[in-house]
Amino acid sequence: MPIFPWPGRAGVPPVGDPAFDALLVGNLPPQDAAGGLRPVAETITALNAAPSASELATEASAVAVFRGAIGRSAEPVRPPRRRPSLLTSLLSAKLAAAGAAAAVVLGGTAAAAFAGALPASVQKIAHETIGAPTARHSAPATPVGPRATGNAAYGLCNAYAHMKAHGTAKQKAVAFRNLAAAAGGAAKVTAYCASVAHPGAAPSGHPAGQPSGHPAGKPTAHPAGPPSAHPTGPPSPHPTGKPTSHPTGKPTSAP
Amino acid sequence: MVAPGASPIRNAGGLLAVTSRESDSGAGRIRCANAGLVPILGSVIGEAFPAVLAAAQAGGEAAFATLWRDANPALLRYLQVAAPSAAEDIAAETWVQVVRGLAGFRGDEPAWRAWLFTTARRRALDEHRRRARHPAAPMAEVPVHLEPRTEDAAVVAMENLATAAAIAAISGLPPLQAEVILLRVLGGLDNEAVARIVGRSPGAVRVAAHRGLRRLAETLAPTGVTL
Repeated sequence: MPIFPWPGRAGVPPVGDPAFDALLVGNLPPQDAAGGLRPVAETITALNAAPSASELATEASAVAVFRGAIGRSAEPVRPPRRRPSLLTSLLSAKLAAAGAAAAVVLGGTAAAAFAGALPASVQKIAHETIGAPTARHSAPATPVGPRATGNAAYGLCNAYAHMKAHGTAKQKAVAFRNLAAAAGGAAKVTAYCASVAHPGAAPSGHPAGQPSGHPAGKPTAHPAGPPSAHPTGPPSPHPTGKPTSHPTGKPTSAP
Repeated sequence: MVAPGASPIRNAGGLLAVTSRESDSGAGRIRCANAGLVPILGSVIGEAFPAVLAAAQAGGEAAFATLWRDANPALLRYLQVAAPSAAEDIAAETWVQVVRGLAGFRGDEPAWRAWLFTTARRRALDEHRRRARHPAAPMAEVPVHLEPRTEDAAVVAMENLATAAAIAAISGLPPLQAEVILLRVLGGLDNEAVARIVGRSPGAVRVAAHRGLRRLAETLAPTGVTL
């Protein structure tokens, strides 16, 4: 190899040199590196520089994804219909501790997800995890089958229930539109929410009119109720719309 | 100096350390590559990892957030080289997948990081295949001007210029060399773990890493300017 006057080439060891292994495990800081390797050591140091704000910006969304999947990941798969107790107690304990703020955060995130207002990448995640619509449009052209039946339906039903209790009229409308789309129609929403392990309230009083699954025309009475983001129990599948008694909440009249 | 092949472990307060006592630089720092001026990537997990993992698996959001903060920046930086225009999306998809499988994960911190990076890598490969099949299809599902505000992959890195420069330099390497270096440095993985991920022998991985570092040295060497 020709000898050049600049220091770079002279200080680069051959393949197999322990200096490279040291660099790779973070054991060779720039000040200790021989001339030719110093820029490489600086590069490695820069690779490991502290996180920037933008690299941590999506934390809330990632936690929301985690929260949405909590019923699946927090429990063994074996007792599928026993889930409500653990999920409810987990969430109620959490929310009791955190107060209404947590519910607002969840509601805000879910609302943002359903309104398509999240950044595209996060919207995609919300779409995959809780069945929120993709960033393309706020209501999918074809009903979006939930990837994981429990999670997406739960997310949609719960989000609607939450918007009904705490959201603006617009948020509620958006949430119901998405829920209806996923269920295959406004008429099917009751059955759709009835089929999930952690359903929210069945819809009532939505802007488009009464769901035709209730021939009596009465709204079913399963609102989200207390300021918590967790469902209050299975909605009634009865066509008369009478509230059923359920373990975790009292039926109240629809807001 | 550390013996070649010594396994790096994740240590409290640092990304990498070696188990041997010789790793101590004399200044009491665990993390020797850190000149002490630049904070190190990753939050404090290390010995607390088993507890944090268990808490996250039980549904603890704070624990999950810790795991996420610890790994997401490294994943993003890896993906900025592996799949530059889709790094944010793929990172997000990676976490979706990880969350789904979280309850079933068993392993120590190196195994956890190996799983994270394996997942990210697979999704990056899927993205490349998807693009190869549909070259005309834009990555974004909505026209750019309608897309909600989101960080461009290149912009993400630019908040730290030195990091951006490092990523750019490594992006110029042949793919295997770049990937191996990133998995070792960002992933904190040893040769064996990287070998499993990329499907080569540990020896081949070590050679690729060394070659990549040599090439970096030659690329980054000042030309005609003495320091």
